[in-house]
Amino acid sequence: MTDKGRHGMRIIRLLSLGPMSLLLMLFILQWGQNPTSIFEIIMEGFNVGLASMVACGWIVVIYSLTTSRRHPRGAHQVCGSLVIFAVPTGLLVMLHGIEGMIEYIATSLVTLLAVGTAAALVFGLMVAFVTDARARQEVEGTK
Amino acid sequence: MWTTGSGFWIPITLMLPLGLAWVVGRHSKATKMAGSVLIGVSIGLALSTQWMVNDGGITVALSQVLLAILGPSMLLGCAVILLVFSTDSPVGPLPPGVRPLGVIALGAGLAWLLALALISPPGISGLLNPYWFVWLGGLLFSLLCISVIAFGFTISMGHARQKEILLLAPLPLVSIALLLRLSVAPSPGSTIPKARTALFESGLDVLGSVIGSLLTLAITVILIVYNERAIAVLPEAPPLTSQEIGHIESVIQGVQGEDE
Repeated sequence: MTDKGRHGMRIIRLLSLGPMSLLLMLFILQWGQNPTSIFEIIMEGFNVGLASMVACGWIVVIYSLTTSRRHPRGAHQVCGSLVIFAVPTGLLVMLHGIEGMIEYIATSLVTLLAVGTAAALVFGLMVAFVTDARARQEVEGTK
Repeated sequence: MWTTGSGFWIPITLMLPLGLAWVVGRHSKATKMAGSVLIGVSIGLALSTQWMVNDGGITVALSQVLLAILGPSMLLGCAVILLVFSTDSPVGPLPPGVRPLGVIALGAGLAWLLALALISPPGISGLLNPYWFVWLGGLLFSLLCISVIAFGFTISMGHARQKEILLLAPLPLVSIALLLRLSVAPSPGSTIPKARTALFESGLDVLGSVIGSLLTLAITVILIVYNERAIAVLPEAPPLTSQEIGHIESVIQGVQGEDE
């Protein structure tokens, strides 16, 4: 690794302390407020994970149904995608019932939208700034 | 018109994916156009649920949050497109004159979001919409974490990109400030303990959603790879005999003769 790379890695490590310490602080605040709710909140993360598997699994089912018509193993693909969709759905229905599953799917949809918006914003701006800087450097280099 | 949440879930789970499949797939122009119309109609139906259904349930809350974030998200999306394509872009470059418009759209989008978060968050019957903190918390946590990854990526790419990192630095800093502000001061229609719980939950929601989505993606990739490898390989054909080569040559000569 070059000196610049090592320096970069050191900065990344320092920067990653920010979100971690913030999450820890919120965890402590939450613990101080209601210690028994921590387990429930961690279970909420697990349930939302299952719900996002349901949402993404549904997209996989639609993808398989629309693309596998001419595939030699199209039927296998559709069956596999149905299993990917059905297992987390069944688990969520067993744990929380259909109403609960719909609530978790709604939470997961909103969260995925938020993550997508943040990712598009940050990476879009990074590409815009870096491309602009590279263009400026090239112009300066030709002068 | 709609007595249950079907007016929201049918467009979101059936019409929208079908429209996307028609637009993305190898279909005729008319089908692609129908797909675009279907996408527009499904989004319109999903967003209008809050006026069609009056039960104050999940779908109304979801529809309200989606409508509240539509404006700022579109402004931010336009800002990113204008900023990316007004640079030295090899694909579809825009004239450099539109760059200030991109900066204005970015500022307006962020200001709109801040105003929504601090002054008038979406609410139902005087109470804060339960999905508002899910979205806002998710956005702020994701901005924080993704910015850190982007900074690391920018530095490790080399060429001393500190200036670009400084330009992006306000995003995570504002996220931290807003998260702290929301967890220590009451939001309109909510209380501090509720806000703290909702923010903490939204952090774990992000973690759960990202892990769940990546897991599904990984299982799908494994399924596709397994299916591709399981396709029976046909036995290799023996080389052509001189008689077959002669037959092919005669057919080609016949076709060439017809062309002349």
